[in-house]
Amino acid sequence: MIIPGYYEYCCRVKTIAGHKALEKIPSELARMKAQKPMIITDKGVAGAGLIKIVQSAIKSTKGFKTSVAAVYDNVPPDSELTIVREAAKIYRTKGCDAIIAVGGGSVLDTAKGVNILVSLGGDELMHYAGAGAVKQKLKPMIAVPTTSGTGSEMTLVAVIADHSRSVKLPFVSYFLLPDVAILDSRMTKTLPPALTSSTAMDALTHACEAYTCMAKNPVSDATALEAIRLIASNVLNVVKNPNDMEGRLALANGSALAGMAFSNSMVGMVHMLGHATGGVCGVPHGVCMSIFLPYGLEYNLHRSGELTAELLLPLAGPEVYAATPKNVRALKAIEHIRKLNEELHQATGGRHARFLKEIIGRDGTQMVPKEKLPDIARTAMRDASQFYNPEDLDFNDCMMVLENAWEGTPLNLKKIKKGGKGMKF
Amino acid sequence: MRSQSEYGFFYQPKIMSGVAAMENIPVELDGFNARHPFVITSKEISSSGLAKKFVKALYDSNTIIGALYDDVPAYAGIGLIRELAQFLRDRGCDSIIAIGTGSVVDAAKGINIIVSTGKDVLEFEGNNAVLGHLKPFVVVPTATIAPYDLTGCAAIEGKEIISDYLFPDIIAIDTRMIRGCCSDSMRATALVSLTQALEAFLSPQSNHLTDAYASMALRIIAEHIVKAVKRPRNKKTCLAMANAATVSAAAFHNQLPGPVHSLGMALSKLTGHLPGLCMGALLPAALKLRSKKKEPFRSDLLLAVGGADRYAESAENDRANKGEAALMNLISSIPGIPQGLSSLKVPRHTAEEAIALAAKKEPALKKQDLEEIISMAL
Amino acid sequence: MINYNNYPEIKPGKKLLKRIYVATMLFVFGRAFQAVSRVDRSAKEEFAQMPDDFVLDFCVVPNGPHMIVGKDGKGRITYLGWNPAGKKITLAMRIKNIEAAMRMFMFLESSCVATSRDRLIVDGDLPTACNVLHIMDLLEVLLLPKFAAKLGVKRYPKWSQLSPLRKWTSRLLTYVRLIA
Repeated sequence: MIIPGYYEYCCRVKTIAGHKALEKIPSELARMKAQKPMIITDKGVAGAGLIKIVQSAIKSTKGFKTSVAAVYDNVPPDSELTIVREAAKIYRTKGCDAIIAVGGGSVLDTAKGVNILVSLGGDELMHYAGAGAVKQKLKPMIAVPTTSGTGSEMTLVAVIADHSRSVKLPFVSYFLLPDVAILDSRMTKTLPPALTSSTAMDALTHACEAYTCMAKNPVSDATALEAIRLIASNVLNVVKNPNDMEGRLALANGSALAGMAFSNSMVGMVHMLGHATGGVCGVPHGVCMSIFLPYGLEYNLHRSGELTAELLLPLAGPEVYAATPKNVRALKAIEHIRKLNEELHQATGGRHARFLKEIIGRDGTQMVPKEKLPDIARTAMRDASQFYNPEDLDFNDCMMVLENAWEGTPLNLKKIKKGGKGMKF
Repeated sequence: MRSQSEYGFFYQPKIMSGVAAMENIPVELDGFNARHPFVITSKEISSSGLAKKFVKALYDSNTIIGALYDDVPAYAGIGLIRELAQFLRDRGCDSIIAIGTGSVVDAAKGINIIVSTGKDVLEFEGNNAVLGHLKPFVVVPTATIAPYDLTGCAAIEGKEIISDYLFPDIIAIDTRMIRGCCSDSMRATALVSLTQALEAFLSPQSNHLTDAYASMALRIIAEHIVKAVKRPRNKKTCLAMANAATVSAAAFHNQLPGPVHSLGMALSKLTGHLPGLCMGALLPAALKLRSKKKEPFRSDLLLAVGGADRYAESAENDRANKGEAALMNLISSIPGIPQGLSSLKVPRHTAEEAIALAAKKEPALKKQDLEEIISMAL
Repeated sequence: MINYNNYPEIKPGKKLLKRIYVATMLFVFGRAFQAVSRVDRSAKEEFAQMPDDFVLDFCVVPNGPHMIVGKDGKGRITYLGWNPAGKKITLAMRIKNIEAAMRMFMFLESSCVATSRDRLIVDGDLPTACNVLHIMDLLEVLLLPKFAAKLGVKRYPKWSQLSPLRKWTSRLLTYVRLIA
């Protein structure tokens, strides 16, 4: 086991999981001396009937005086200042004392912003922007993720756009972590197969990168390995049988564990390229992750190959691990991820993209045309994830990986410029 | 059987581990809006120069140490805790730092309860009695780490207080502070970690998160324990064992204590031996009882203790047995591990008292099991 | 009763020598920042991507030393000294303590290891921070001999990335501007 010369780890979120985890909300609120929560969510989640499930779960739990005082379902796909102010106003007029965020990344970011305003007072989020500006306990907040992928219920960051000045305000503080994360299988039950597969691969990427990048540590390793085992052994089953509730819960667990790992050990070039592809072409995050994951592991092979080899066991199981000679285990792990992408591609009727050229938008056009690749590479060079990647990348390296990922051809290992072997921790 | 994926798990501390970890304490305290900590430690630690190292680590920061109280005895009574709480208030401190182990950390937790809630510690006996956030609390562990140090439990005046809010907010494992003095303390610390991790791992109530933490602790322990006991001043193994203690404490806090841990704590209280030694003397007996009762071991025990290669190579139905063998092998290879209770000179009547004590504290444990473990260990 | 006088308040002492060392390194580093922005092609590209109001405060918390670099009115990179007072900082990169700064500037921890050990707090626009870190790597390559720079950067540039001719011209010109 690698014990780094120095590391930090922190995950202060109480995790509650189960098929009836939502029913624990009232007691958790009571523990935090709150009983009038406000639910923050978006139209998609509300439209899928998930808010009703949450509300009836809260109502059906006997012995608590919890009553949902307000439901705000107007959160847009990227969270912004006016929305935060609007929600905070409702929170105040209805006299709420806690926040329940039901949804994905933007809902959670909005909820974190609202929590800053209602706890610290005022209408100016600006004062609290930046690293470590929030220095006190905020109001109780419960996160209920509805996709098993982002792991954003475990992160201490919120990004909120200020459209009037066209800037994005980052907020970083341990006090932004939700107090409780509720993982309930009912919340992901209606997720369509293509989304299930891409969000699960997103979580798998978090875990794989957490285990193989520079800021890894024993605790993030522990959760990453468990996450990989859970996701790799369940994702295909759940995509094929959407009603497999045990599998759904396993994926939700895997995603949360991966979230714990990557929010502490950070991520590398898969995210560097993925963020850029998402930013330039508007491709959903999970789709980019599943495509770039094998390439990232391949590119870093000379640095983190030994770690990638260890991943073969949780990815493919002990039989494959034992049958593979030691020196090719890393390659086998990469091959296994490619195979998984292939199987998911078939199981979703071709909707799970394997290469960049396969990504098709809502209007039926190709989302990543080849001439956009230089733009993506330039954007990627300004993404902070590169510093946690074991090997350096410059513009040309990014282009090489992008071109291969576009065509779907594996990297030519000889062409990778190597700065050395192994990693320093 | 309850599904393994249904659970609740909580771990408050931020772990900072390694080179120059203490230097980061001011920044972290500042994140809590705290700049005026109250520091407590024991004479042993201040006379060995470790307290001075801590003070130096805070140089060039804005953190003013309200007081460095270095007279906490090996047993800290409620009187001292109340006086120290008053001392903290008089100095106007906004956070607490405990350097050391055992009574120092317990006293710090007690002080924190008094100054944060305004009530007396003894009102909070039992499980989940403390509700609400306390003042920022930092633990700087040294070579010896007692079972409750890094968890949300405190033992004060013979009473136990357990709460999620009692967790340290920051655990600063610094390479300068954790180097062991002798094999004995290292062995005791390592055996506590092993017991905590193992019982959490083998518990029928284990879940994904306790599994992840416990198996990681077991992996680190299996790799380092023998070397750590043989060479207690080696920097790398000390760091590894302190990490193992931290991770296993996380798993322990989120599970009901197992029979070995409960009996070990009770015996230690009655005899004055270090808890780790008592647990080490009982551990083989408990494992034998398990196989006698034909309760199967988990197959991935072999993965944690024996490594990935041995796990993958073994046939599927053979893994549990091999895991058990690897574990027994590991325990017996620890240099100087106590061979049963007789080597600790524990008389039968004391052992029986311990059974009663453990059974009273943990009603979930079967008394018959406890009796069998003790009789086998005797 | 506890005799309070036995346990006085302890005000943090000073690590003067370490402060002087880090301050000197920051001064050299700041001047080099300005110098390299005038002479090296890839540094110019990085600087061009930064916003026009860019002012970087690279410092040790909580009491400094600081190094402030920013774009002047004409968009040229200038070393703005060690005093942050009155300057509009757009990007702050704070080292968490003087000991961590020492480890970085004595090359015990390379910039990538220091980043992954969470020794730095970045406050501001992350893409611009990436540009700054790229330039730091470039400076290490230009200012230090190969064996030392190799400890600092993840990958020492190959011929195809940085030809010896360009490396030596940039190195000489940077040194000349640094001292002059």
